[in-house]
Amino acid sequence: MQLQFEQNATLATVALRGHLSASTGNAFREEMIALGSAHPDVVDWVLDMDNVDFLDSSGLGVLISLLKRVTEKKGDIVLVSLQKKVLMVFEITRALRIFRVFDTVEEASRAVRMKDAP
Amino acid sequence: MFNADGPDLIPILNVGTPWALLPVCGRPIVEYWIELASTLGIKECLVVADEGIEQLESFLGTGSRWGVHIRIAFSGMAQTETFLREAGNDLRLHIEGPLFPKRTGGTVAAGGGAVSMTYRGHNVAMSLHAGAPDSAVEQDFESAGIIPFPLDSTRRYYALSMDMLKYGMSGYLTPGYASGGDGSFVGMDTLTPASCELKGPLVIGNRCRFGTFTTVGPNAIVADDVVVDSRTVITNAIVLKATYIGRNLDITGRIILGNRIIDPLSGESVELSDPWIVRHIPPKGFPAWLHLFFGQMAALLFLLLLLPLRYLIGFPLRLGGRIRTAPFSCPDRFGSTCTFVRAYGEGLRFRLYTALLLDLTPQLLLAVAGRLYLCGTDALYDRCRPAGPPPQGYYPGVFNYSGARGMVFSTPDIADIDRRYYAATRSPAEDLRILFRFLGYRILGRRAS
Repeated sequence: MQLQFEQNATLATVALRGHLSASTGNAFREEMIALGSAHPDVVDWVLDMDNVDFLDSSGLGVLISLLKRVTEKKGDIVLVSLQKKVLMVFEITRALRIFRVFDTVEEASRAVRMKDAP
Repeated sequence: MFNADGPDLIPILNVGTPWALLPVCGRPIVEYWIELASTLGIKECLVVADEGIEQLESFLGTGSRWGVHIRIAFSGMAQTETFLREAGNDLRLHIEGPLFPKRTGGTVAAGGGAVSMTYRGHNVAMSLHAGAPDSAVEQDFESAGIIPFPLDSTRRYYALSMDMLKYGMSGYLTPGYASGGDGSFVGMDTLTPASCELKGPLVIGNRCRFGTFTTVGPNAIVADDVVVDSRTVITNAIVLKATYIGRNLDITGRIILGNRIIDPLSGESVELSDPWIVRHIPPKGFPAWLHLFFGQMAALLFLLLLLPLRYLIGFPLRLGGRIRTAPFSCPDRFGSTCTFVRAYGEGLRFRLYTALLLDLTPQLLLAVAGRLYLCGTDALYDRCRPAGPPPQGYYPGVFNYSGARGMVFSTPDIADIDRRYYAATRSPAEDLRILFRFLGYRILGRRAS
């Protein structure tokens, strides 16, 4: 799993590439935690999943644990551009009730900023 | 005459199965036609197909259970003409292509004993004739209470299934046992715990298993040999044969076939490779009695081989105080309690003792004899404590699936995850692979579950 990080004030955009599964989930979580520690002013995260071609229940579990961590600090994780298979996993596991999903990074960033606006 | 040839108009649904055996509300399409023919008084049936002949033969047999005589022919053979010639002016029902006979009530009229009905669609055709052609009265199928319904897309297949569930089951011989009142039908040897909620209308096939707190229906069709794990909801959905559906899922408005999830409206499908979510359940291998019989023989042979070694190597270790043991009890797969001891020790001789599995001899013999599963949850001595009963539904194993697959779990309930994975994926080949890996770990002196 490769990550590409970009920060814009309190919003970070992370583009993921690869598959998120039992074998890569732990490493991904550790990397995200390290990014969070290295950039403590980031509150909200936009994960661009356009190049994530596989996600299983373990990978979903990692995303949920990261979301929990972020929401404890009053932040949010939103997802962008889920591929068909990945979207199906989210649908049937009810994860769409937990995560907000958008088609583009711009839409997601706008939605997050509106949520944060006074 | 039933022509089961024709293009695979719903290829994503009947993979490896002739379309005539595609189930509608729990029963194959061809069965509805046979019943219609029997209702009309037809006694001779010819089923023509070029693929899936063995499956058709296996299902249809001689036709005796419907009171008809069924013959099956390979397409292109001359049997078709002979059959029609032999029928003469008797009532002849001819079906071509994937058509379903929707029944709405009504009768076949006969003017002077002769009647003629014809329906033609794209790649499908249906005709019903009786009597001499020149004296036949034209009648349409609708007035006879039959609506030929072409099954040419997943959308139509889904719509037909839901429509029949809601409105049309009374027109057919219904599957399974009726619950009375709410349009629910459940097949034989299907187990549902008390916490499972069934909301009609629904159809559930034979030999299904449902976990706790599942909700099935309304408007659910579950075929034979389906396993649904706990807290999953199935509504407005069709689950086809031999499918495992994981825990805590929401299956709404979908058709599930093995690991394939189909959107019936668009016809699009995705195949998921995560066995925890959905997967195909492979057919069972050896029958249980065969396993038990040969298992007992093999266990006896193992006993004769291992017992002398156990005493030759183990006895000196015990005398020298190099082995410590602690007893524990666990249930076996039949609910009886088994008591074992776990051995602790150090040194080369102890490593040799464990590498030859002499510390696990009783468990291994019980696994070979079929009383314990070879693989499943964590090894007995890790999960079973001397005091207190194990969790309900616990399947004690000798070796561990999760250790073999190198999976890392973020939840502490590893035994629960193993049990679910085990229920979905266990096979003798997988057990043997885990066994050899485990032996390797032991010989190298590495700690492995």
